[in-house]
Amino acid sequence: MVIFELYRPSSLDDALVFLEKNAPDVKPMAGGTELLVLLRDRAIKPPKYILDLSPLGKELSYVKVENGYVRIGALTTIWELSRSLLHSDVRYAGFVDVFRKFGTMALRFEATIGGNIMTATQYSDYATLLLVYDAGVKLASTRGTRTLPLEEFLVDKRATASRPDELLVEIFFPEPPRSASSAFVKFDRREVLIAGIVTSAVYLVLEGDVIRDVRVSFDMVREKRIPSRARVTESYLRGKRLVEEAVHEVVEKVLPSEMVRTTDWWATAEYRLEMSKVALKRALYKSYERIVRGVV
Amino acid sequence: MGLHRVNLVVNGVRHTLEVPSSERLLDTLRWRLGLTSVKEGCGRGECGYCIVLVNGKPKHSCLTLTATLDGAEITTLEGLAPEGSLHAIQVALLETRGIQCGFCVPGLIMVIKALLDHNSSPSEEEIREWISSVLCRCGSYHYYIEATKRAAEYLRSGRVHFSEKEVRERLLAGVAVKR
Amino acid sequence: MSRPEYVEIVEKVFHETRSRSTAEFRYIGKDTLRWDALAKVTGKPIFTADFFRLVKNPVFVYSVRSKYAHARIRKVDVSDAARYPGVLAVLTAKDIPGVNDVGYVLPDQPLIAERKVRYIGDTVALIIAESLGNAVDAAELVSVDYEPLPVYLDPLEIVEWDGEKFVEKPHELIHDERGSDILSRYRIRVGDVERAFREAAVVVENEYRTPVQEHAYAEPEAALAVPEPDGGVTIYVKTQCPFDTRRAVSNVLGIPFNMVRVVASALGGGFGGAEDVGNEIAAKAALAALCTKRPAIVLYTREESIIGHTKRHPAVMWYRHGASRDGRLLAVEARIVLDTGAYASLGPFVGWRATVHSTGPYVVENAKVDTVVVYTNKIPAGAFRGFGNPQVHFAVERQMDLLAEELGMDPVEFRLKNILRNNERTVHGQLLDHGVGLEEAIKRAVELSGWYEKRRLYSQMTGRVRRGIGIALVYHGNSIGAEGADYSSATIIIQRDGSIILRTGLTDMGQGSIQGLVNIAAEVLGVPPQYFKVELADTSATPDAGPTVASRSTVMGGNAVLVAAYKLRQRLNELAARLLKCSSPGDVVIEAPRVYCKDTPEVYLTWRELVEQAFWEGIPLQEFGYFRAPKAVWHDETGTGAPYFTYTFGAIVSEVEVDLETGLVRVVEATTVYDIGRVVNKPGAEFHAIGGYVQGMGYALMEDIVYTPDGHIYTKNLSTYHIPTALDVPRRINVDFVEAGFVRGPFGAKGLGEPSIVGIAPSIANALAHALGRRASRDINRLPLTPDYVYSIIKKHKL
Repeated sequence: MVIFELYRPSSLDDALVFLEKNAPDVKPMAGGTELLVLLRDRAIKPPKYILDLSPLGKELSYVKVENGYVRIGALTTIWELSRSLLHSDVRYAGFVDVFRKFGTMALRFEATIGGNIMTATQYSDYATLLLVYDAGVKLASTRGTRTLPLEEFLVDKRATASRPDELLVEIFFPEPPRSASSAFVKFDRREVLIAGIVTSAVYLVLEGDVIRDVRVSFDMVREKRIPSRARVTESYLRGKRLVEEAVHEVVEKVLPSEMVRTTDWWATAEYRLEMSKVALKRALYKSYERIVRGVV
Repeated sequence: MGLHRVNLVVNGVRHTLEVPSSERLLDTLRWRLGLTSVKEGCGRGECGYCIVLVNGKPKHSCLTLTATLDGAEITTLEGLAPEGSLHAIQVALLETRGIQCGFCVPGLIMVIKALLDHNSSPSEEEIREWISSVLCRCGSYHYYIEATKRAAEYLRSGRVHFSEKEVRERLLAGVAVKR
Repeated sequence: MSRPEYVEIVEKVFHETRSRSTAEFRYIGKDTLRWDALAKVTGKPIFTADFFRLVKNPVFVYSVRSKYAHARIRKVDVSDAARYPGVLAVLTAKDIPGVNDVGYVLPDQPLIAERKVRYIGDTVALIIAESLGNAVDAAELVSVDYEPLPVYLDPLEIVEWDGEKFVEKPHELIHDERGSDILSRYRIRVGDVERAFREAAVVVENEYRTPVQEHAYAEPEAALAVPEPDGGVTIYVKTQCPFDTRRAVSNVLGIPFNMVRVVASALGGGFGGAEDVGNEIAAKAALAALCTKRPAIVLYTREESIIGHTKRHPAVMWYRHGASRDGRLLAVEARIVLDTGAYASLGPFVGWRATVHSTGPYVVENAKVDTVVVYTNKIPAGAFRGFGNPQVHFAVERQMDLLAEELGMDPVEFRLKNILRNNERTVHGQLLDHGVGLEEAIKRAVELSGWYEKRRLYSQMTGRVRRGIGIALVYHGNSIGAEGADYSSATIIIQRDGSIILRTGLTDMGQGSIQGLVNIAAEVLGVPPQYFKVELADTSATPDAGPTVASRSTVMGGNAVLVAAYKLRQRLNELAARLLKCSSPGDVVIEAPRVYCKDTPEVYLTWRELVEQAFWEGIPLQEFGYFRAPKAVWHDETGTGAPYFTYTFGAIVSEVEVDLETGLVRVVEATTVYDIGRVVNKPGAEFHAIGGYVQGMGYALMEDIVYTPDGHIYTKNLSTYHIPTALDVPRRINVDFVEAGFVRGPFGAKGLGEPSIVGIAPSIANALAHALGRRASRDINRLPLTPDYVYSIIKKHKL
């Protein structure tokens, strides 16, 4: 039997005090779509306490632009994201792509962006996308708040830099300039409820057809089984004209030089590498089109 | 291990329950309250058969701890329409003739309800996207899509509830209904 | 030699209505709403697990499963588990009072493993506890001393072809008690294939592989056993075969049939998967109930369901076809290996059906087929919609397309040159003198799908996304053929107020064929379907209709109902003729609520009045209908005879789109046309065609149970085992029916439960072959056609 005690905090401060008192025997629960599955599957031992974050929903669900930063409350549900500016402004178009392939529609009402990032696996699609927005995370504890880059926050598979007494409260990234957009690519044997053979996110800023800035991430790049940036690929593309030759070169030569895929029972390393190339190409062109057309 | 006192309104009826931390809403609904329309198909939020509406939004009751729901309003299929009547979604499903084993139907209906509450004129693509929350192994998706469109028509024209008796007589008469 | 009355009745009705179009019937083929639709759309408690809360103080039964896929059991120590809080008892093999076996066809499957375990789902102990939670925790304390043995997951490790026959390879026997891991062998020897191949202008040979398919039905297994005061037990259980379940439980408990009552609740999907697992869970629940004298619940999680019930037999098939230059099929040679996993289940019958259908719905005068069904340490394979036929049709229909390619003929034209038609003989030598609607089905499918134009158009496509259109034909013998005694029965009881109770031992797993039975009775009696109430299948109360399998419900169940209704109608006609003074009983028209003489409709009785009068005159208003199928004929040595009394035919056209960059295949549109003799239940026929397509599409493109090297599985939940979602189905599936009626079907009807899945995967594969072009054709020889596999073909042939 899975036995734990549920604690419902009255406020964020109350939650942080509870964490301070009881860490590391506490697991915070946002939507429950990850934690409760892990407990059911007996993939993790039941914690002594589960900290129910839903009472903090009002406080920690928001999407706003403030002082040049886009700030997203960690408890914003995937559905709420789709009702926000992230789905209506072409600069954030990748968020629409992630949404459409996230779990199933019903799950999007329960899962939260913070929960998705805390899961820290290759299938944390929002992490993959946020990496190309150069996102940072804000963590809170009774000691105050601290921020660190998402890239540092994701340490390894199912491991984050969050301390046991900390709560992820916000994700933020710099507001993109005009003529920026993004795309996220994920496909598998069927349309939804999939892990994705591979996933890829691209963030692009164009000037004409010159790539002023580009950031590329994948569900994994090499070794570590977590979303990561493909920096060699990015450096190659930066400053170049986004034309077929360049895309072909980066996809066929540059990406394979920094990516090492793995074979498992679902797909081979070769197929994953090939699909990473296809995903990168499609994400690049999609971002490009979005900038040119101005619509998602 | 303490119990949590939870006040719920389920299908319009107030309940005050004392539940252990680990009790799933699915079990509260099925075992404590006898609302067996809510089904368990996977326990992991994949099949959609356990979906109910919590404060109007779809929720997998297998991945919900009842103790987190103090003050919530929950609707299951049993509470979709008043006693003696059927909701437009139910009538549309009957009229389009696609029900096979019926196990996925309660979760499906709650999803369709949530969709139509959110958008009264969904496109086919949107309907498919929402319905993909529920796995129908009998393969009736095309029927469900059609039923959703028909239900949307009923709702847009203001027809929400139908008398069960009248529907029963009309549809069980062996008369062909135009599809 | 006079024929049984039930045969006379069915044939009489067929002949009287043969030329009547379905549109002219009152209830046959109409858009009737199924009898249970209202209960389902209002979420009423009709499934087994919905009854659990109605009993007081139940116990929960949990199966402790094997750690190994193949091992000897040296010792089982349950003492720690038995002491765990909340545990009432822990049963092992020695606690079984009767026979420790639940094998469906052969007694090769212990309920609780004793000497050996043969797959990861083998039960080594049963925990009976106050809650499922207690039981699951206690299970960790069961200690089993195993001696691991080699794990065999590939049937080709068990057998090989030595040039003449399948021979068993030396290995650590899985069924050492049988002395061999070859379960069954079948063959066809007709004509002279060697001479035919020598004469053939084109010969095509290839190897084909089809995967394990999981039923993934919505409802996980559930059973509730209630001990009866007289020492018997009543079991509510998810089963397609309540009478077989009863037999199994009686066997395990060692008590007579009449002390075991099995009630089949509505099933949330079956597809053949609930054919024998129902026996196992009912026996487990019954054991626990009698042991504790309390109601006992068995409830599987999805993972237990996937590991704990049978699968579709994976197949390795090697085929060789020969044809003349002008497109006549001359010879078919095939070797088929079916992997039945750890236990036989329905394996012997699956192997037989596969063999019978192994040459497809064509005129084949020279055939040499060898089939072998072997044990491995995979999860047992058993019944799954199609039952061996999807596997062989995949191979056959790919072969037909390969031949058409070699001959430069259109695939439809080539098939039309070879299909079975009325008055032709099957490969087994069976004369089909009527009831073959295949040609018409093909013509309709070609018309509805726009075949010729698309075939031409799509061949010319270039670019990253290609389209293809492909066709597959099927035939599927109705009911169980030579598998056993093929009979069905039903009771119709007209109540004194005119309402009617129908009792049938057939179960509903969603297929809704019982509505067809209601329609038949309604038509014969002249009363609307809503006068009928259908009782749940109950071994103590409803007659044995035979198992709900093999696409037999409409034909066999329908005939039994037809016979009962017919006899009732005769009696009512006589009474009404007398009361109304009609010239003869044959002139009585019943159009409930009115009953009148044909020529004087204004003078009428009501149905209620007629029934009431029958009651007063002592005319029985209850009738039992029985139907036994014509005996199948099968000669083991040659594979000739008459294996099934009739066949359903079909033509399926699929249109696919393939992305050359990723290998992703999507079905864009599909057309299915089946010859089902007579459409008795129109909505049912349609949702079979559509639902069967979706399930077949899953089999073709995305479903596969993947094993680890030690016999466990990766794909044990619904996010790793991919079945189609609403976003995966094609935008449209066109459905049509042909009615080439069969004389011994109710109003000529034939079955559709399984035929509706058999031809889907090959039609999709053929469409993909069209899209990718001839070079890639031979490599489209396995399922599922996952993106990575299709991509590898594209790369290999530089498409």
